[in-house]
Amino acid sequence: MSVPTLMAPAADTAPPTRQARGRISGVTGAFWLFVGPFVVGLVMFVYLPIVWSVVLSFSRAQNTVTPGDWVGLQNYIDLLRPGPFLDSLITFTIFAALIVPLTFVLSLGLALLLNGVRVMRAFFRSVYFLPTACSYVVASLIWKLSIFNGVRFGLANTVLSWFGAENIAWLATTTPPWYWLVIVTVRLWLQIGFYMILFLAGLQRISPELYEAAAVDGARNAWQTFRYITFPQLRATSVAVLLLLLINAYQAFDEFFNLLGNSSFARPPLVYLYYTAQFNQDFGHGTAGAVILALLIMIVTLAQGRIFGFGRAE
Amino acid sequence: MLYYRRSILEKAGVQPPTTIDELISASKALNTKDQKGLFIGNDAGVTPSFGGGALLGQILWTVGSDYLTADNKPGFTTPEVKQSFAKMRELFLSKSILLGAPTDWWDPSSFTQGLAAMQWCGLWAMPGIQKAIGDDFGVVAWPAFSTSVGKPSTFLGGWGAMVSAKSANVDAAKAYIKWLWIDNTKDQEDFNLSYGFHIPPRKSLAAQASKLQSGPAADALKIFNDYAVANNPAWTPKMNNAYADAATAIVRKGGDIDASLATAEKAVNAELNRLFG
Repeated sequence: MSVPTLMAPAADTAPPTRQARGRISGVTGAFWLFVGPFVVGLVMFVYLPIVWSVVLSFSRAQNTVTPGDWVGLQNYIDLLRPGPFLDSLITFTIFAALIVPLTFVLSLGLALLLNGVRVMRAFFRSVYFLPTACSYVVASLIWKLSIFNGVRFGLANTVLSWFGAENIAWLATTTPPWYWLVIVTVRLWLQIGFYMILFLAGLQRISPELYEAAAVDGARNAWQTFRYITFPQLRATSVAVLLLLLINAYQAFDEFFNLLGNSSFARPPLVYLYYTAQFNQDFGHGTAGAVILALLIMIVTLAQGRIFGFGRAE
Repeated sequence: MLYYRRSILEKAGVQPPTTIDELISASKALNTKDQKGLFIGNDAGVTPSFGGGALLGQILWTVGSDYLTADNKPGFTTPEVKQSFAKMRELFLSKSILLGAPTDWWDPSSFTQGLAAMQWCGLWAMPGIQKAIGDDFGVVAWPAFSTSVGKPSTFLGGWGAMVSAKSANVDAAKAYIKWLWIDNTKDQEDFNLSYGFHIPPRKSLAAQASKLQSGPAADALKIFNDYAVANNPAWTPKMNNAYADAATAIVRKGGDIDASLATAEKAVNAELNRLFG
């Protein structure tokens, strides 16, 4: 198809104008040869489903993915009334309020510590980064079956028993809500290394001269250097990390699904929508919920950009 | 069915429960530091994911109610059902049920390995239990609510085969299913009883199956014949999830019984309206 046009510029005798035209069409051909398959895949498997979802969300689609039985905004109205979908947004809010600051502070702390380490840097970095490579499903099962199971031989309960405490059914106890401990620690363990690397990269971009200048200006202790030099210089990284943490918390699914299943008291939006669409076969409400979530994420991202200047030139 | 360890019940002077109150007091009496009284699933029997929600039906059947009434109205909002939910919450709060076990109610390990003295499980687990603890166990149905209200119950597990009415070979498919489920008794017995216990669908076959003639297996067959409640095909997954959300909120989170069941009733009515107009 595009191979002959690609070879056209090789002909020396061709007049300059034709040669130029040949080159352009050759480049165009090569462009579509390389980009075409990807674009086709992107359109078929990403954009088409998105458009389909939006269309379907205005339809009553019980046991079918064919739009047609139009109900206007009814699906959206149903979801935004007090009910399980709004409850799932509350669950998400609690989850984000716990996981975002915790991961932010701890990964920044780890990055600062590792940045100061002079020996075996590669080893320490790898060790803390390694959990990122673990699957959420695998980690959830380890947390559920071996660390935080409810019987006497679970790791957490074994430790508790040394102090004479009773066994705790971590995932089943709702008062106090111990299941949050399990949910939050598994994600913390999995993602902290990744954000630590982001912070490390940010730390290494800070010019050493700033620290020298600060020392000259009388910044005496580590806290003052951190407060007035390091943290302000990490602004871009911090905003990116916050945004990523928030979006990832929004999209929480694996650990909730594997640890708590379809528990109405702790079901983030994606888990609720999954059960709505897959188990109830109610694709109208399922897609409407997905559209609402996408809009929420967009609004939060834009608002954050406005407030913190994410993506603005420095 | 409810499996119980004979030796442990005898030692504690506890009789196999015949009412929900007896079940709760037995569970409390059998509860020790390392062995819980009763295992009904890590979800307390009310959350249907990963095979959970084992007692969603029994909560209704124990007071003589059902998911849907005979004329397809919600059957889970009667005063008796609300009392039944209050008892389930009481059982949950008694701290005598096993929660957070490595496997769930459908696997007998927790029972055979001494994590619980009684366990709600299925007939399929019986060969494994016999192998692990011999004849140190018995079975009863899920108890009636009280001596005057309701009756014992169990679920009717089973298989179904359907023929697509739009198929070009409806008669051939029907003949195949007749051969598979009705005529082919030899394979049916082998399939049902050689690889874990299941009750053969044909009653005549179940009645003469040698493995179901004595001991707990015979008790199980009797429980099944007397008390099993069949599924209602009109009870859709959407209805079940709405009802289970309410059950989960009530039993595990202490949610308001009336309000939770009213929310479920609304969702179920909408679904019934879709089905029957």
